[in-house]
Amino acid sequence: MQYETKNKQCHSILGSMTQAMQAKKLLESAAVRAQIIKVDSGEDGRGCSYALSYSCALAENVKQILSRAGIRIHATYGDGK
Amino acid sequence: MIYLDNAATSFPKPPSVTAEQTRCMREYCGNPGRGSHELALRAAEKIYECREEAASLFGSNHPENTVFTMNTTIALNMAIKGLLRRGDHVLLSDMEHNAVFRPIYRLAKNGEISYDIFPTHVLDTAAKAEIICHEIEKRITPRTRMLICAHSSNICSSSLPLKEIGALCRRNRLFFVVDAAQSAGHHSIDMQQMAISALCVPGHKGLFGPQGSGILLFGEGIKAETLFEGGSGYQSLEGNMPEEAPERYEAGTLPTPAISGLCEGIRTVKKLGTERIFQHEKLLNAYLQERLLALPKITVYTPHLIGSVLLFNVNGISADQVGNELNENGICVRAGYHCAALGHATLGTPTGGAVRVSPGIYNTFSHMDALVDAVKRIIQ
Repeated sequence: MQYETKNKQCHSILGSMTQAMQAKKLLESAAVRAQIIKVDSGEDGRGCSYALSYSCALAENVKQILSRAGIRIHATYGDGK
Repeated sequence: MIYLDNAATSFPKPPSVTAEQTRCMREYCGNPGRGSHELALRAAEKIYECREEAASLFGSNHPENTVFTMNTTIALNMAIKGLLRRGDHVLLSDMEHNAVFRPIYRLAKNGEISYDIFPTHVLDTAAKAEIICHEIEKRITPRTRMLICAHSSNICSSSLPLKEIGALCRRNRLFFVVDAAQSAGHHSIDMQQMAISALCVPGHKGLFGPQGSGILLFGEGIKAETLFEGGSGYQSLEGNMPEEAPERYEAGTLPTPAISGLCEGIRTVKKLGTERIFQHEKLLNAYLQERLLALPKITVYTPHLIGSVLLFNVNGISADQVGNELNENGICVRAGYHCAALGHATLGTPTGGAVRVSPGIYNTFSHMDALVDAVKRIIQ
């Protein structure tokens, strides 16, 4: 179970490319690797958005780092929540 | 060829600028913010890098408020038309370039706004800030919503005290829009300290970037209406532009090669330091002024202000003729009115305007000597 969580990828929707880039840089400075991916914004039906993809094992850490910097996560998928 | 027209556009560009542009075109010129494949992401990373470099150069903590435009004029139009509302009153200085004056003039002509011009007196005294602020305060009305001014003139070495004017704007709750076309890269600018609402900057002048690159930096909490609408790569199913900067203001594909070059240009400015750049230009112009004034039939405008720009005439010969003859001698300067009718009227230049010399970091004293020798030949 532990192994599965470590390898599972979580996706957090950030919004624009700039917002995703900002979040990615912030995570990088905290030694958290994340990749920008393009997604449909989902339920709000507004179209293209950018998200960060990272190991679900880091989900809590990511949430905390971004929240401390005032960066809003619109939604997170893949962590089973 | 001796290039002395850096106020129009800087030349030559640092090798790092041209190298990065070429690298971009060859290696990573995807469409930034329009997908998440490797090239789109590499282009987007470079764009974001440049936003960060620009924000830090101008004392902003918000790279997302760095909006790329094609040039300063477009940045100014976006700030002016995006922030003003019908019925507003605007204050502008008597040294403004047409990039400021014409948008304001058109809005006023259409009956949408009104404006007043405050005198700067082209001063160089300790009381300069106090005098200018007094002139501004006299003209503020209950409808005044914006003050807009050039930090440095494009026709002489006059600069305005932004910190004091910014404080005045903050006290009076005015948008403070700054045209930094001639000061970016030459003078230190701190948007927070100077309470600047919108800073309009050329990429291709003092920042050494390529033409086609310009920046509009919004102050914290400033939100404008959009001047352009279109694709932003984000919220594509919406009819409205996104609410968030910078995508809100950047409709259509960004010029990634130009921005990649600009990024290196900004790094060059940081490496050299604005003070060092300005002092170099000032030394060259001080030397040039001394030598020109030793010649007969020469008028130098605002000789008490020595900086990045020197404006002169050869009495009895039109500015254009002097410009053309200097060109025949292999020297590039700009003659005429320099798109600054207000400024020329303030300085009282004759019909035909004057000749502008604007050296840059790559010019030397021998270039100034060559110019003086050529002017001597024209006088004879």
